Order: sequence, then C-alpha cells, then structure tokens
Amino acid sequence: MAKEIERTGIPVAYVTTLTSLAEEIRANRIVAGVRIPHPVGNPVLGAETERDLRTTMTQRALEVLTEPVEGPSVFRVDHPGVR
Amino acid sequence: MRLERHVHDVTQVAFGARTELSGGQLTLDRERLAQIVLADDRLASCDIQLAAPGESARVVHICDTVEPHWRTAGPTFPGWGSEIRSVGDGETHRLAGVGVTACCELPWRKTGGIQIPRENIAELRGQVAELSPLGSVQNVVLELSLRDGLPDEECDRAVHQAEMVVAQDLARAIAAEHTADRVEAFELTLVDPGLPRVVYMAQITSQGPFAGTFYYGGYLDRLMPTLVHPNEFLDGALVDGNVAGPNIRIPTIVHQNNPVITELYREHGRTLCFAGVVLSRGHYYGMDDKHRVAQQASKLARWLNARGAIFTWENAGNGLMETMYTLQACERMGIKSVLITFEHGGARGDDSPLQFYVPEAIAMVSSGSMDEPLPLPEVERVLGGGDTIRLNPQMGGERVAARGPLTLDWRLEMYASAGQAGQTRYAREDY
Repeated sequence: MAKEIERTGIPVAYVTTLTSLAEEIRANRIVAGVRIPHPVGNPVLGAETERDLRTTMTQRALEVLTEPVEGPSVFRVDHPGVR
Repeated sequence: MRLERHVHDVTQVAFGARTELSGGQLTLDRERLAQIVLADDRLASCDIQLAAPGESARVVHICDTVEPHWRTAGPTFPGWGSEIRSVGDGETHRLAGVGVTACCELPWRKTGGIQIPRENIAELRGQVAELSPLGSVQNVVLELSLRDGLPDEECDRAVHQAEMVVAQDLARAIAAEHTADRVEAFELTLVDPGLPRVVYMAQITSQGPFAGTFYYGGYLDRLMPTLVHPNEFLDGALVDGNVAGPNIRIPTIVHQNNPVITELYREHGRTLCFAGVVLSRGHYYGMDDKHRVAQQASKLARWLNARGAIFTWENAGNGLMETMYTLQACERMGIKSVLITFEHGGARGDDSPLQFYVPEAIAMVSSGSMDEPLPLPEVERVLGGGDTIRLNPQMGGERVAARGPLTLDWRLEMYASAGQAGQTRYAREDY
C-alpha cells in the first residue's frame, strides 16, 4: 500500500515495528514502531505518558513526510516510551 | 550423559482386562485408564478410542500427541504433576509405534489474535495421512471435556496432563513385565577431534496458553537462547501446546523422535561430531528482541566450536526473522548453516515462499507447502469427541460435519502438516 500510494505522487511515512521487512519491500520513509502488538503505543506506560508517546510518534511521522530520502530510510522516535 | 531407550515395538492396539504387550499387540484397560485421567478434577469426561493407520477415520480436536515413556529412575515427564529433575540419562522405556493423543474442544473466548485454539485435524487413510504423526502409529485417542469456567492456562495444562498420565501409565506397565525388543543408546561420546562439529539450532514458539511450548512443565515464553542436551528432547522434556498453529506446530511425539537429532546421532563419530542443541524461541514482538535472540543463539553455537549448523523453526510469521538473523550471524562467524523450512507461497505455490530472508540463507531444505488445500473425503469414523468441527473463529465459528467430505480453504487445520522438524517425506519441486 505504501508503495502504491507513493506511485500516485503522495509521500508516505510507514510506521512499523518490523523495519527490516519495510526495507526489504523498499518503502522509502520508515518510522520504527514500538512493538508488533502496539506499534504507536506502549501499554506499560501510564495513561499520560502513553498519550504523549502517541502524539510524539504521530508528529514524527508527519515530519518525516518532508524529509528528503534516497531509498529506504529508517527514522527512530526519541521518546522514553520507546524501548 | 547416556540415555538408553528400551524399545517395545507395538503393531496393534486393543482393549482388554489389563495392560499388556504380547506379539506386538498392546492391550489396555479402557475403564481404568479413563478413571486415572478423571482423577484430575479439571476434566469433566474422558472416553478412550483406538484407531489404526489406514482406517477410514479422521481425528479431530487434537491438542497434542505423546509417545508412551517410562523412566525407570523417574520422574517421567517432569513438571507434569511430578518433581522437576533433568531427564536425558539413565533408562527410559518407550512404546514405539503408539501415540497417545489428547483431544478436546477447547473454549473459544475471542475471534482474533494468536491464542485461539484452532481445530487440529489428522487423517488416518490416504496420502494425506503421511502428513501427521497419527498416520504412522497405532492411536490411543483420549476424548476429553473440561469442566466449565476454568481459566485458559488450566484448560491448557489439564489436557496435556491427561496425555502424560496415560502415556506413562502404559509404558510403566509394559516395562514391568515385557522384555524390550531392542535398546537404543544416545550419548555424545568423545570422537575424532578432526570431525566437523555440527550444532542443531532448534527454534520453537511459545506465547502462553494454547500457543505454548512447555519445558519441564513451564512455558518457554520468555526464553533466551540456551544450551539443551539432545537427550532431553528424546526423553520428554519438551511438550507441545501450540493448538493455535495446527499445521505449523511440532507435536511432543515429534520432539521425542526429532529426526534432526536422531540423524545427527547416527552420524556422530562417523562423518561429524554432534556438538549439541541450542534451543531458542522466536516470534518476539520487537526488532531489538529479535536481534538479542540472534546474537545469543549464534554466540552459543560459536562456544560449541560449531563449523556447521542445522536450523528448524516452529510456527509461521515473524518468527522467521529470529531464524534468519541467527543464521546470518552464524554464517558471518564462519558456521555453515542450513535451514529446514516449509513454504508459504499460497495455495498454488506461486507467491514468495518465505516472508523474510537474508542473503546468507543459501542452503535450505523445503518440507513442503503449508498452504495448499487438501480435499478430505468422507470417512466412516470420527474420533476426538462429537461429530462436528469448528472453523473460522474470525466469523464467530462455523460448525460443519466432521465426517466430510471437507474442502478447507487451505492447510491451516491439518495437524503438523508443514513438517517443521523435517519429519514428513514431503517437499516441493523447483520450477
């Protein structure tokens, strides 16, 4: 899906935990998710910290859309809830 | 560590007044066995059926299959109602050619996710029978039902406890009065140091109730790769509870007779030195975990001074990533690595057969398709309890007549059919 959407000219930020698979299919902008069952959240955090994590993940994905890349690139999210 | 398995060959099973073995015929007391199973108050009922390979029969609701074993110095199947002591040495009696299969309709409490106890089906007649261990053994089938209201883990443990109880009761009775037909010894003896050292990298899956593997009675859910003696496999340390992955599971009877281990033993001291087994668990949820597993497992292989490694893995999906990263790390250390795997190329086999791979994976052995649907004929007998099976949990469950004929969408429900320890004779052809 990420590749097909990009083919129409719309940039895609692909948030996924399995970054190697995303690289293998040659997705361009890959945002490293937290865990397979919860890529943009983390249930071990308190509600407030988790909300902050979700916001940070989403903002990072939006930022990445305008990053120039040449081929598959993995972007990490800097947040204490990502481990 | 020397294990001597005293083998009692069984070619027929029948009900009778007491447990005995004569001329290859195993006789067992149906009522008494049911009673000892029902001593566990988690179980509401137990009926026992017998079936031979080649019968027009189908076994359904399979939870697991175990070969009857009895350890003379005890405990047998430690961790299952018995003290936990390492197995793999001393004297074990095994009834070869018999499988005790626990069958039960486990509760369906949800419609999606990994831990749904799916329908596990085995055929006893036709070519398809070769795909499961039941097609080549005399079958003692326990038709179990559980008391209402038990938590998932208790359901999971109760059905396995039942098969262990019956398996060791049978083997104990025979060991007491029958002379073994032969003795097979397993020991990692000192051999010519010039022989290449080969390690077996065994990756299992374990994700809690209905999707677990037990090691001495405990789930291996958080296992970091560890060294295990091959005799522990052959002597009942590992018990399979992965009813959630019918086609892609390794039943206990396959662990007890793991063909990679028995073959490495056969070649030990002749063409190679069997260096040991690295046991690991795949299907972790984060990339860091996957790399931790790969680094630890490959490090253990190097400590064993392995020059070669044989890999098998259990379950499907992202668990292949741990296998592939471990294989990659081994190859980078100069350990030649071979993977035995099923193919996941869709019903027609024309899609990519592996979801993930590394450039170092250049030697692989195919154990056949995990997808290709198999038309199942109408059969005369259905064993396992009841006359229907449940399919499609995601649709809320759909009941169909178990006698068939059945046309399943793919091979998901076919018990152990992907041959993940290389136990089947199936493969796919190059094209």
